[in-house]
Amino acid sequence: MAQFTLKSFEFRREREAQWRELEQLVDRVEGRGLGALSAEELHRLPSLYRAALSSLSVARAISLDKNVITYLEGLSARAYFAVYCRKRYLGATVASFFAATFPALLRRIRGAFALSCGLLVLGAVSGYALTSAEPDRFYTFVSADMASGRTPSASKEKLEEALYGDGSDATATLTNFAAFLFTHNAKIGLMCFALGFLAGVPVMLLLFINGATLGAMWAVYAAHDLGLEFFTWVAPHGVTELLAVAVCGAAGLSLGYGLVFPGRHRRLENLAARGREAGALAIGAVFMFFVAALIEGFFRQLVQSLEVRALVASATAILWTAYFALAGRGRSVGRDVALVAEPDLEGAPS
Amino acid sequence: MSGSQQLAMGDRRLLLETPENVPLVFELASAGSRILAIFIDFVLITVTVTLVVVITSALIGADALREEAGDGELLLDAVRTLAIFFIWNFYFIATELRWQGRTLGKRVVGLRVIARDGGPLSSGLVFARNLTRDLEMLLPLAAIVNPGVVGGDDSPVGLVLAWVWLGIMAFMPLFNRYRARVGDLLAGTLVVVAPKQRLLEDLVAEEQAARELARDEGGLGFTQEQLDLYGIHELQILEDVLRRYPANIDHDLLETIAYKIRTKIGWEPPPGRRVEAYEFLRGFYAAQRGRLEHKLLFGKRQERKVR
Repeated sequence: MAQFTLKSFEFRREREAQWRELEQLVDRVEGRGLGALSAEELHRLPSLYRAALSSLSVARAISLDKNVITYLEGLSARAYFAVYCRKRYLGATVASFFAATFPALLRRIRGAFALSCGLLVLGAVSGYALTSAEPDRFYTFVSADMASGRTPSASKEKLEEALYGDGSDATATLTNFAAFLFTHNAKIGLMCFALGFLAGVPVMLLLFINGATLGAMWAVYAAHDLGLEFFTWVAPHGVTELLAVAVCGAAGLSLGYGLVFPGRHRRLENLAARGREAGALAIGAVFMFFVAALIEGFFRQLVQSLEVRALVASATAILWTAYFALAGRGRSVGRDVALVAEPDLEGAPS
Repeated sequence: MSGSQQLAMGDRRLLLETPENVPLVFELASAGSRILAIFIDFVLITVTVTLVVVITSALIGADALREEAGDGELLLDAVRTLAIFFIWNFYFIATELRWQGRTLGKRVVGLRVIARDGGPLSSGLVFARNLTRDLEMLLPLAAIVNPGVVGGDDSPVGLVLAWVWLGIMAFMPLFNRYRARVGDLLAGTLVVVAPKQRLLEDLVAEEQAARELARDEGGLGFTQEQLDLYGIHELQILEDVLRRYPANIDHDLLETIAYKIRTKIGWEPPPGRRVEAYEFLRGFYAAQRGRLEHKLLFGKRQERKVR
């Protein structure tokens, strides 16, 4: 090799081995996570990353080799995400989420939660009142496949049958029904969250309509003196389910509020911060829907006694209230919430 | 805390300041590549759901499906409903958490999700950006396939409003500078291009290049005046051309380029020597890069050719 060569060529020759080493480490981290690296490699990753960044700024200043620059851009970016990604285990994340973060997030937006509960109740009362006054309005609130025969014109026997089941129902039918209701309700919940983006107005409508459907059904049963029976039929799983709907609604309303009244922050930043919290709430609510479906699919169809049903309903109500009011209060919740709500670079090398 | 900023309005690149104070440049993903990634993910989801259903029906057994008049079938329905719900809603969340913002489709296309402020992808953020997919993608699609979904018996005004609203949701990426869909806005994320770059051999790494740079006897003997004509832009186009040699380039094109450069800089081959087009271009590239990098060291960044 001749004496005279380019500085950029020399520069590359000196550093290339480090780049290749970093590339190989990043490849493994991207494929299998940070766990794929040994302790020593883990130790080398940040220093190799900083070396690559310094190479990048040198290359930008002295090299005109486009391939080297784009390579270093790409490598630095990948290494950046490998170094600053969060080393968290899924199990631990889930555990801390339900132990503290989820209720804490809900407590944080308790105003929106109260409003969304209020809308549900208001919807239910309106649905009840309107349907009692004029049974034909039932069809406005309840769609045909939702009602599945339980209409104002149905006989008392028919309505009772739906409450208790005729015994010949196979498990498969129940499973199917529970699965359908679970996905149906969870979708409504997620819709509530997503609609928050539109300033929250559709969320209010959705909550109200959901309440109205329930109220209308109740009115049909009440007309046949089956009001209490209907209540104990709905409540065991309904408490959980309606709470979940209200949680999603609260998430959507909080989003909408953040969009309309951004306060001191820029609208886009505010939306992002609230969106992350609301997203986490919606996921928690999906879990609640799942619990409701389990109660509905297994418990309700097996237990026919009014008293036991009422007992279970009150128990779930008390449990959820206690959970949302108390869970995670003693712990350093603020930190945990921050972990979900806002990204931080804690624990990352600086 | 690091943050991102746009280079200029309408520019599709983004600067992300790292804590080490070296800005990284990202390019926002194009609509086409994002749709392609979604499509791949969608195919994967469909295949997985089908597999789950097929396996379940195999476990239940063909007999049960036929004999008990609907029992097995209902169970299968339940499994299918749940499988579709969970896989559709959690596939994106799980993969984006697992591979730091890259679903399988995005990995294939070379995209990744990043937080707008450059922070790590926390779970709340991944949830938020993926929980709006139904509203943004499925609902408008369903409305196109079956307009009745929007509500056919409503008043015309309501119908128009519904369609406008669906359109806004679906085409949100076209309305903002980050090309973010609604979920991205909610979560504060962006989708950027992040392909795997390969480090190719240095084009000045060979003997001949060293000769050009040292202006040895064996070199092609470019003068400084000849090397002052072109700029960095042209040099890097030449680099692309040379990297395509020999497999991906037409020989005639190589000749044409060599001829153009020769006439422009007024270069003649050394007496008694025949110089092939490729050899000339390699030599010229080395000499030109040497000259431009030399200027760069003295603080003169010549971006374009002189005339």
